[in-house]
Amino acid sequence: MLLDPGFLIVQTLNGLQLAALLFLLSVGLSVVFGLMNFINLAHGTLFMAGAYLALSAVRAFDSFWLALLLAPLGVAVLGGLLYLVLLRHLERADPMRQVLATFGLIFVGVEVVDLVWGSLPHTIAVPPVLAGSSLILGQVYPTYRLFIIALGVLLFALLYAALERTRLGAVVRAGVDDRDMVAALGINIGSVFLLVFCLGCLLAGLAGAVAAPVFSIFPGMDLSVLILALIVVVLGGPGSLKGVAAGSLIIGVVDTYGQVVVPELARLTVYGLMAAILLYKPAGLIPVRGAR
Amino acid sequence: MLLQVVGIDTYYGSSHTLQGLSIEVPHGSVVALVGRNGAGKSTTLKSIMGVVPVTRGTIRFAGEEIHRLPLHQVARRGIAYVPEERGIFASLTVDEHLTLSGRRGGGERRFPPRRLYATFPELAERRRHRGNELSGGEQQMLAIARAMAQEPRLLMLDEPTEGLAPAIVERIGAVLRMLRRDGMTMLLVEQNYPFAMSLAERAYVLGKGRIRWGGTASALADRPAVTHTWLGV
Ligand SMILES: Nc1ncnc2c1ncn2[C@@H]1O[C@H](COP(=O)(O)OP(=O)(O)OP(=O)(O)O)[C@@H](O)[C@H]1O
Ligand SMILES: [Mg+2]
Repeated sequence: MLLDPGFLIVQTLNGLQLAALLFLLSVGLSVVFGLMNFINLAHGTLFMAGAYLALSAVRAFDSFWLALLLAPLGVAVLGGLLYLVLLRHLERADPMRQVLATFGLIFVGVEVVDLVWGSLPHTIAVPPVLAGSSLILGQVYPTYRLFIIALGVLLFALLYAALERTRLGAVVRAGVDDRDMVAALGINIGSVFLLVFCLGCLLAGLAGAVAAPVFSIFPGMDLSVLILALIVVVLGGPGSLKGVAAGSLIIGVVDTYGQVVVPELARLTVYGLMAAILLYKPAGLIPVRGAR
Repeated sequence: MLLQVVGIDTYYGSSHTLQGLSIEVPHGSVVALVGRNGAGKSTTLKSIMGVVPVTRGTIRFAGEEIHRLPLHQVARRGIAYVPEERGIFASLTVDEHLTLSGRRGGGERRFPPRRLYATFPELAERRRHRGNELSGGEQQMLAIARAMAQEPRLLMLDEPTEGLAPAIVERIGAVLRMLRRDGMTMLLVEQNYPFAMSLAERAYVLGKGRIRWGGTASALADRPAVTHTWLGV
């Protein structure tokens, strides 16, 4: 089975599709961690919120594309409120309090979703343009999944350009290096952080909305992706965009193959890989330059 | 008076690091703050900047109280700070360092990048290099150039010559003399006593968190007891 090229192509594409979703989900987590040393475990909850908001938007407007636009915006607003009301006060708190508070939010999120949308799983239909399959490398493969891969690549390119070529990107990179020094230049790093945080939430919401037609939508769907996203962040090196991309690729592909080749080990392949990489590169694969 | 620090106390945890410290920096002057290792020189600059909080006393800048303002607000009032550890961003290019600061609005720029690169040709050659690719001397020049790009009314420098080769120290001395001629107000922290005295009109001697002596730089030269006790020179 492993030597069958058809099998390899399809599973690799599946891996890339998961990688694209993981990338969208992990970017915000990683940059926020790098910029503020703040770990937001409720980030997966925002992914779930994206999926549910997309579900409601599809029901209300009967348009997948409108849902793909509205759900991430809704999640960005939700994230912004969450930050202003709660997370802002935890920024300078010790890591244990951050972990506990945001861990608590995971359960709040699951309960709220259960209350509003019920506990039964839902799905969203793939939009007609992307329904059906395409022929790629001689294999028949769902078009929508190719769309997810393309979206991941596109957003990586956009974010990379924004980070390297714009002034805001330079401020973010500087903030990851030395936050106080950025403030000493007269830059309100707090408002930059709010902006970056909301952008990260938007991307998590986008991941949720995009995943909705592929994954089933249910209260708690955030848990398994959250764990993978945390692994991606640690593997890639917090605050590093290239690190997130590399980590997502590795975890996406390894997790996919692990699930089909040795299903009895479940996620152990991913955990084992993380342990092995961190043993050799404790700061992550692509640590931010000069990170302390 | 551009800067007035009146009776400030600063603590690190329970250690009382600055004890009722007062200094004044007149418009257009260069004031040196000298003292031994651990005297509290860096803490004084950090307290003015708002990097560490002061628990008592007042800091006035151009007549306005600034000691409760957050760091970025202090900077926007017109204070630029070159920290002892230089604060160079490892992942930013030299160019990006010089265009990062949100310069206060309007008017002709005194230090556009063109002029900064003319002042520091070493940096002009390395415009596209990142902070972590620069030598110690280049980093120090960049930290000063970045502070100049903020067009400050007060430039605070924390040991700008520390750990640098004599030729680089001479280069930095020349730039600071040029700034002094230009009328830039500076508060200069130094352990390099001759260097500080070659630039400053006034000096304060700091010892164990208190001001031990203050006056003109030339008067300090005639007080061997002070310099011996508090500076070891
Ligand atoms: N972050 C900190 N936490 C606790 N104590 C500190 C901290 N920073 C400085 N100190 C202590 O405060 C005192 C004054 O330190 P400061 O850095 O202001 O001295 P300094 O005059 O700048 O010395 P140097 O010439 O070595 O730079 C020292 O005893 C130092 O150990
Ligand atoms: Mg010092």
